[in-house]
Amino acid sequence: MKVIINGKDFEANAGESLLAACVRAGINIPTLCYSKSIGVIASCRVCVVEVKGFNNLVTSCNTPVSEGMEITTNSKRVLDARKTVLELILADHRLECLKCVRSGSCRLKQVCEDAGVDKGRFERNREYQHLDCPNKYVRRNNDKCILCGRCVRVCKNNSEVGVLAVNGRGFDAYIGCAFDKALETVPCISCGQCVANCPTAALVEVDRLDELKAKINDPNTHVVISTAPSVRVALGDGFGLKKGTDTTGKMVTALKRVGFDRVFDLDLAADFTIMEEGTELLKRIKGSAPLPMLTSCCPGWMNYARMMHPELLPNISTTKSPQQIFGALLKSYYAREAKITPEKIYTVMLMPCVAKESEADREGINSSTKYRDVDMTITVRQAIRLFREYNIDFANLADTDFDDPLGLSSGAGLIFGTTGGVMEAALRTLCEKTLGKKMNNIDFESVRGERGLKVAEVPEIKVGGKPARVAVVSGISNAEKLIQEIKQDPSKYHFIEIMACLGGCVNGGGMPCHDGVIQNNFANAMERAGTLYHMDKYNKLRRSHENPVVQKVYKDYLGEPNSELAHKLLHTHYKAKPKYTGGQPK
Amino acid sequence: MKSNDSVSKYPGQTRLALRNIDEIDPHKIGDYIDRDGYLALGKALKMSPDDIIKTIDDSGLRGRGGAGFPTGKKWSFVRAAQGDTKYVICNADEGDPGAFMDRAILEGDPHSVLEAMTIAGFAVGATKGFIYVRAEYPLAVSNLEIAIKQSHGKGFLGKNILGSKFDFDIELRLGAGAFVCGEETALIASIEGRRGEPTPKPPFPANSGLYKKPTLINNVETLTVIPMIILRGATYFNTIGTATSKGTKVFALAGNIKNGGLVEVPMGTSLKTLVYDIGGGAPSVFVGPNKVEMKRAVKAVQIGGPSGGCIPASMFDTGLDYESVKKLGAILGSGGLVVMDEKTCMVDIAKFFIKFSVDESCGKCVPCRIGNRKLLGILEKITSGKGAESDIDELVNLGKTIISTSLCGLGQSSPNPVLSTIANYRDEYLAHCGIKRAEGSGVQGVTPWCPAGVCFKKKAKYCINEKCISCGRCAPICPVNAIHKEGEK
Repeated sequence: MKVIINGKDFEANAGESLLAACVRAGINIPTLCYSKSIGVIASCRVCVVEVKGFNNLVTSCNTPVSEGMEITTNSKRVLDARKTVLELILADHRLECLKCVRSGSCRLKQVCEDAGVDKGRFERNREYQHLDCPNKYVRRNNDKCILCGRCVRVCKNNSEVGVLAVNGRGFDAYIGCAFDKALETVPCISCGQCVANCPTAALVEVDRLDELKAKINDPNTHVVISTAPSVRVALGDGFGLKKGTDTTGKMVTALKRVGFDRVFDLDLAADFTIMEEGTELLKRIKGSAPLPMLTSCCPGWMNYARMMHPELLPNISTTKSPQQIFGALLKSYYAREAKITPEKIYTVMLMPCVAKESEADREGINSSTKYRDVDMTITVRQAIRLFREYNIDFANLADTDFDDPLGLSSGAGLIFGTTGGVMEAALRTLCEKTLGKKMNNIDFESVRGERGLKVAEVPEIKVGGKPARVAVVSGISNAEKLIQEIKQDPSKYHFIEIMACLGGCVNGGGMPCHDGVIQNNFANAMERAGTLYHMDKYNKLRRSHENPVVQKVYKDYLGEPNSELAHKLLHTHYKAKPKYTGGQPK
Repeated sequence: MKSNDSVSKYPGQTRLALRNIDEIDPHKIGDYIDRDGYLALGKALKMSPDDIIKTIDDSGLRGRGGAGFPTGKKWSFVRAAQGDTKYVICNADEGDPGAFMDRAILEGDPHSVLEAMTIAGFAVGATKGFIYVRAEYPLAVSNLEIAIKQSHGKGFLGKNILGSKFDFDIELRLGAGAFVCGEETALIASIEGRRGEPTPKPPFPANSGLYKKPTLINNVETLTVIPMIILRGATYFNTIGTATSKGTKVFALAGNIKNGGLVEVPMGTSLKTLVYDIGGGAPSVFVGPNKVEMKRAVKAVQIGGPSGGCIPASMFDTGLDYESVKKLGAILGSGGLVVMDEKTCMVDIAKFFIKFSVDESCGKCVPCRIGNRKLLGILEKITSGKGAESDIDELVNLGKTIISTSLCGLGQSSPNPVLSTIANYRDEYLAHCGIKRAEGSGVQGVTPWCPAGVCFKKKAKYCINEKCISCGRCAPICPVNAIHKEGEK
């Protein structure tokens, strides 16, 4: 349909919003509360435009186009109104921008700068709260909150738990948990989506970088880092590289420059996960434990399962996540090979995730009582800050390879970083093991793509004489629907991959924060996923069981998959976790 | 039980919406039936829905909740909307300070609302209705409960109403005291059990309302005249009133007025008639031991509550209809009329209404949440003698921006009291800022003063002297927490 934008004819699509039409027409309307990934509430009022025939300004994010609409995006009235709205927000925002972790990625700051906000027009009308609402993994600072409600929407719509909501009313409204309970006492799954979607620093992950720097500077500590698959295609976001750029070599170089003693590839641990989990599935099919088997590598999902569906715990694979497998191997196998006592090794995991820290903290996850398998996890956002602090010109770095002996991984391990990747990696190994021969085509297209739920039949693997049925689901909201389905019919699927974040780790809660007008984390995530599949395609090594390092470690150390030692190091058990703990916070 | 006795019978009224108030016992359905009650329902069920809507359309009835949207149009939108399930909601969340017409109707004539909702349900194709009534109206709630039960007993509600194939039922939902829940999308959220926050329109409730189904929302006063229009025809209603505003309107006269209470007059009646002829003007004040009568003049009226504006006495020739009032920067609103005499400070009044909007904003959108608080801050600055003329300009600028950028009707109208008082009483604002307009042109600086003598009054305070032994007994019983312990961290 025809519309007129700033005096020029434009062909708009029926049903699209004014914002979408304007963006396609090359007009960058500022937005704060809008996010394509999580929906519209039109609360910030920054995206207002003038439409002929309307007395008031209209918000472009929620207003659909209609035939012949005359839209003005840059009249004095519009620009002044936007500026006033932003000045109002600033009058109630803690302006400590120079010492704020989101200084360089603050959406509010960017929008204010674009709108030409250059003075504090309004006086502040209240005291600062000086209060963080503490959580071990996520921190809220309501002084910086602009009440855009993105965290509330993503927590409810995508992560299902809905632990964040607006409390209070009017000027005293604030985001918090029911009855002002602390985040760690409610069923928060620590997925970090609220942090990744926050336009300011009202929500940040807990920062332990000072502790990390101290360890790096300590000559008596051997600091080892391994990097999750999706991290290498996201780090470039922080340094102006094209979305989804493969920065593996630069990442390794940068981490070495920061001073890590060894940089290993966590994809290798994913290969171990496949060996263990695949073997476990075959045993379950023979009747050792209930089906369907659910994956366990996503800590957000594990937190959800332990709190909301403890009855499913027997169905969850006992195989540890790649992170915990690597931690255990670093402090056992690697310690032995490198002749360093495990207590002197400090293991750091670079993850796209906030919940990984909660996994490393979990009681019963460690393979020894003397030390933690994983000492620290850091997010992609923190890594970007770290590189900046260490004066690293990331975009122009030369490439370096991962260190031996744990630096070689397969394409199967690599695609763990996206939804469907764990399933595909597992199927590659399971199908070939079952058939006893190599398959020509190991691209399992049916479990790829951005859909929330993907299902497939696998004729190569038989359960009771029939092809195995598998499902891949991402986003806890989608997972919950699937859980209800399998409660109705437990035999519907045999193997299910579940990721808490929509799209998998490429859209993880620890990923760089969004940018652009049409705020769409998910589209960025799909770019990253595309790169991972591309890298897998051109990898010579595409099957976990063919990884020579995996074969060597089993031969020299673990024995075989699901051996006694493998069970001690690479498997775990789960306990239910109460939904609500503690009383009222102070 | 007698209904609200503030409904008084001053002369010069035309009582349509209030036709049964004090004439019937609201607990007796027979009383209502004796006065032609439920005849309209019987008639409507024999009409086609389109004819019913046409009658309403022809009557020229417009929404009495404030916005004045043509009722017939609203009904036809809901009728035309696609959907297997539709709802009718009666908005009885009357929240404007000083407005109590809905309360009087619900307490004194509940059956008229039930009958109207049933007719509406038949016309738009709904089988379920909700009355969203504020919990602060316990008598209205209990009278409605009784009426719903009686109506079921007589077959006016329930299955196969009056032998027809039409089923309709009505449930009550109690509001918890949030002003914003009178806004229709917030009201829907509240009925659904969600936080009472408005959502952006479109989609309009007529297409996607309660539980995302097409929903008709009408105000109590709008509904109560429906049975009469159906029974007596559109012309009975549209011959009363002005060219664009038909019928009568109930006003709640409050404030500095002799004859306070509810009065119902034809649309277009002048404020002069309402305030002086019916209301009797401002009451006198008797001062001194000899009770000397001091007559006081009416200064202005605030019409439309916190969303409305003030109209100065010099403009009292204005006829009360939707368009004329809007031209003066106010709105007809639900019909609250607060009369103010010469001892009322207009800056103080503006501050009072903004304070109300600050308290009642839901906090969802920025302009209303923060903007109104800033207006209040500037008004506080002015009423404490620290304002400057630039502050008055800022009130106007910011107020206009809040109107044009807010999400819902609350924010879009909350600055009206400020803007209309500035437009009509700028000199009073200037006086508070220490500026006096000199003869001819130019201004001169003087000590800030309040022409009405309301602001800048120093209040006596109690102090604690050196005899205090820190026993702390005063602190816990202080009603405003004014006592703080010093010298200890």
